[in-house]
Amino acid sequence: MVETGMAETGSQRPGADVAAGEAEQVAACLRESAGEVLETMFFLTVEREAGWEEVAHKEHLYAEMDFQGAAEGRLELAVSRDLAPVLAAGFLGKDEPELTEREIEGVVCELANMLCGSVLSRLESHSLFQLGAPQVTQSDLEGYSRMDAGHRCVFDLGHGDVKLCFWMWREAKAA
Amino acid sequence: MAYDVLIVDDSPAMRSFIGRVLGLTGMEIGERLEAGHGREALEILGRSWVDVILTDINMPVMNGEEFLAHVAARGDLKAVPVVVVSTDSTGTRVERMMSLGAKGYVKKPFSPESLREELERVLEVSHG
Repeated sequence: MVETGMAETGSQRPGADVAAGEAEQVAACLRESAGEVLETMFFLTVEREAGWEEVAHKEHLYAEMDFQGAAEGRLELAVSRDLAPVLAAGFLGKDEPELTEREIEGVVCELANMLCGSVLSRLESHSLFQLGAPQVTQSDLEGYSRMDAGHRCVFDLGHGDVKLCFWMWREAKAA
Repeated sequence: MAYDVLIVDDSPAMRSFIGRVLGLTGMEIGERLEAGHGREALEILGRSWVDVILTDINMPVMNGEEFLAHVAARGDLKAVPVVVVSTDSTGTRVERMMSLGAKGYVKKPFSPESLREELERVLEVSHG
């Protein structure tokens, strides 16, 4: 399930938030992008969408990246610790015991990068964006006060889960 | 004929993935060179010949746009096709990179088949 709360975004960032009417479009883009990226690049299938609270107790590896341009925003990603080495092994073509923590983090960052690019290409196919470098962060998504203001979803891949949060802001147009 | 390839991407994970996928395309790949950004790629191109360049856009030090401009300005590299491999695949971005001199564009995520098709197109590989 994709949860949204974009109406609260404007209180924390300058400019207008994504119109409420776009919430469903963003939700669809998140689903399509996650499915395509995970299947094509990681050879994994989304089994189902899970609830946020369902995976709250699990340990995750976090990454985030910002983007600017036609709109500004951020994508945050959390990959459960049981899934992260599976993702990295599939991506790098290595056995899980061979993987270093740095390699696993690098793959999680690349997943964030591909998801962000894929979502933006679907949402704004005729716009230019500058994508920032994805970074691993120890921040806890649950603790972000702005958490309630973004689109968020959880994908269960069987081996573990991927949590995804996406925010986008547009500058308010002059009247 | 074996093709020498230069992969330009700031992500070691993505360079490794592209290298692995190149092996899955069935194309004969010769030397595989790697650079973490455009400037490093130009240094490599100063001492090594390659048949095709695969480059990302968003990179530190020298990004893909700057790199393309440098390649286009160097007469000795005009014959080397550059294929952009990027998550950034809005129509506007693709047009911009092609106008800067890119000969091909592969959108991440991509399959070995789509990479092969684009490489064969820019390298003008004929079948039969």
